[in-house]
Amino acid sequence: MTTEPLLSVRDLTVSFDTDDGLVQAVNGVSFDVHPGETLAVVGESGSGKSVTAMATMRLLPRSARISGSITFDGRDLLSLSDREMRRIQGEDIAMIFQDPMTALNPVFTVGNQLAEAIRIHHPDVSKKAASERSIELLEIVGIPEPRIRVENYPHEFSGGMRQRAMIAMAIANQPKLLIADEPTTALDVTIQAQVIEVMRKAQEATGAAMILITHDLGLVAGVAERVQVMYGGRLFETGDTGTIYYRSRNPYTQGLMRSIPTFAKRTDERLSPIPGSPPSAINLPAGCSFRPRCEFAEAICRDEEPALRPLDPAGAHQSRCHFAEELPDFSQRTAEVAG
Amino acid sequence: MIAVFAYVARRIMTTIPLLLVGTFIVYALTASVADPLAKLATCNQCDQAAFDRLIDLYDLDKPIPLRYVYWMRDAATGDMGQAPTEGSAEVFPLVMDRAINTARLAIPAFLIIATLAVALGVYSAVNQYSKSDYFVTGFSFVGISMPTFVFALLLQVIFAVWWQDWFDAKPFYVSQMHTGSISEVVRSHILPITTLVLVITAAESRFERASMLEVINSDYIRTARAKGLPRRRVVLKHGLRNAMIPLVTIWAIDFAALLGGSVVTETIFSWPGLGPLLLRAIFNGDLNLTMGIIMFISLLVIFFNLIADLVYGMLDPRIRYE
Ligand SMILES: Nc1ncnc2c1ncn2[C@@H]1O[C@H](COP(=O)(O)OP(=O)(O)OP(=O)(O)O)[C@@H](O)[C@H]1O
Ligand SMILES: [Mg+2]
Repeated sequence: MTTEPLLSVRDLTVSFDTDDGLVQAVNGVSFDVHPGETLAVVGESGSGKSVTAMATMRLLPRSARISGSITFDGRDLLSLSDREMRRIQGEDIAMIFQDPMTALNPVFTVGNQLAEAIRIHHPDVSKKAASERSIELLEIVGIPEPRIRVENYPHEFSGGMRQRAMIAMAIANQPKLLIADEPTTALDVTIQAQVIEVMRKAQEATGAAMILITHDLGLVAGVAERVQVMYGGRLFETGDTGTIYYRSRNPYTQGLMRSIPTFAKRTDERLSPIPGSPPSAINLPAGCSFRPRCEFAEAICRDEEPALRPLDPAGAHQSRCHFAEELPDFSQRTAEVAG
Repeated sequence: MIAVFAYVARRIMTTIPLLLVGTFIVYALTASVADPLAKLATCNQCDQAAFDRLIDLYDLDKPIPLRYVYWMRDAATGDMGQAPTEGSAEVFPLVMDRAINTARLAIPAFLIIATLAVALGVYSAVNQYSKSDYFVTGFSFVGISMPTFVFALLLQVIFAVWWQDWFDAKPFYVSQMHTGSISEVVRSHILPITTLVLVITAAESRFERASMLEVINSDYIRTARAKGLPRRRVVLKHGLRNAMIPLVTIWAIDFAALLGGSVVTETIFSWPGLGPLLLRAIFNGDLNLTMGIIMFISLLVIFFNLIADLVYGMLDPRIRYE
């Protein structure tokens, strides 16, 4: 990419002081998001996806220790005052959360909450204009009879409609960056695709860049230009969506791939979740943190933590594995297994 | 709106059996321990006619359930009978008279309690684990664990004995309300009100803190913050209303209890309210008076529960009256 990145995260490290010890949630993560592009962040539960997003929004609790830098539109977010950051929250960066059933305030109407999002950043907009704009927003996200629905309380909306309302709220101020943290995980399978479609439309309507967080690699195809895979608070692989899908050079990514139903079917391979469970964020194993679950692990993996290495001259594809070059292609391997 | 009226009507209907069962239990218990003839038994000059008069007056020859029915029939027409141990005063006006005195403490106390509890609870929750939070939770802990009489006596000793010259605490008498100066009225009310406020605020602020903490950690508060709302607005608009919903029930219980008379506080401050009256009625075995006060308290509880449910519906749109 030749454009200046919109968001540039460098060496982000987040830990939490808890009663059980220091929780290392995010560990030296660096990435860029360019204007208008969609970056998918994938990884199992506890890999630090949400913490990365919340750090960008500056919504982490005070118990979080944050280091590194987050530059958005040329400004270092971590050094802004709360007041300066509030001007960015909901205006330039907006967030969509996982559980639409609880993310809206039950005691205010959907319209009230939409209008509030507009008027807090644009106090000069009249109540009436904000209300009209709320109706328009509901229309954009495909809520039928928006003029009536705007008066409803969240409990009068279905789960899918609430998530649409959340999307409407997120794009209310034409943000430059949308962060969607597992926006479909809590929804019915049949509605997931619709909501993803609405998000794409919303993104188109605003020209916003998007960080789409999910633990489902299958969701990413056709939505994101680039994918980045996280494990135990670290970046494990990053690259264009096609590269990650077909030429992944990381055993963890390949494991994730094999646990996607559609993929497994296409390659005639049995659906197989990665054995074992993610590392505890309190005691990360020495060496490569994926080693205990990795089928390719050798002695060096225990002794030495692999670095995130570029695999092409441009550095668009990077992987954290000692054997990145030697690994068989995911598609080849599955073909072998099938044959 | 019509749904609300229908709901209220239905609620009142369902309360009637509750009231009947409740008052019957109290009636049966009181009637079986209170024996109006006991005092006469030691009376030398009293003849059989005196006994007969009492037996006739209280239907003592009838079984208790039947006596209850007679009492209820009269009570339903507003005739609560007389209180033989209070100089045969009519029960209804007597109870009303004392209820007003009790309300002189209960209403200001409740208003202060409700405001303080919300303010302290919210402040404490928003500043969780700060020094001021520890101070507030410490105060609640002391307030909840210490019996009321300790506060009452402490306040009395400090302000009405040690610092009496400076504070000049006044006793309360009814005509004070018409003839006394404002400062005199304040000085007679302030100690008992403070006692009630300390004890009940301790419990309520703790409850409000817990409720607010739960709200603060909820997803919609995170959403509100993500919109870029200032902290004050997040707490006061998005947090407070949700955190007050569970408190409404507690308010109903506490306010009804306050208006029903606080036995300990009123007794210690010699307050002519319902509390000491009920205590005397029970000790003296005054069935009519006991029943009159119990009836009043029951109605209070029922009434404020109904109010609570209506307020609940105003605060929480998810509540429906069906
Ligand atoms: N406030 C906090 N205090 C302590 N630990 C935390 C806190 N928030 C997150 N963590 C820890 O940080 C680690 C990363 O959490 P994170 O929520 O980012 O995972 P995730 O990748 O979003 O997973 P999921 O798919 O479950 O949402 C986890 O081990 C989690 O327990
Ligand atoms: Mg998460």
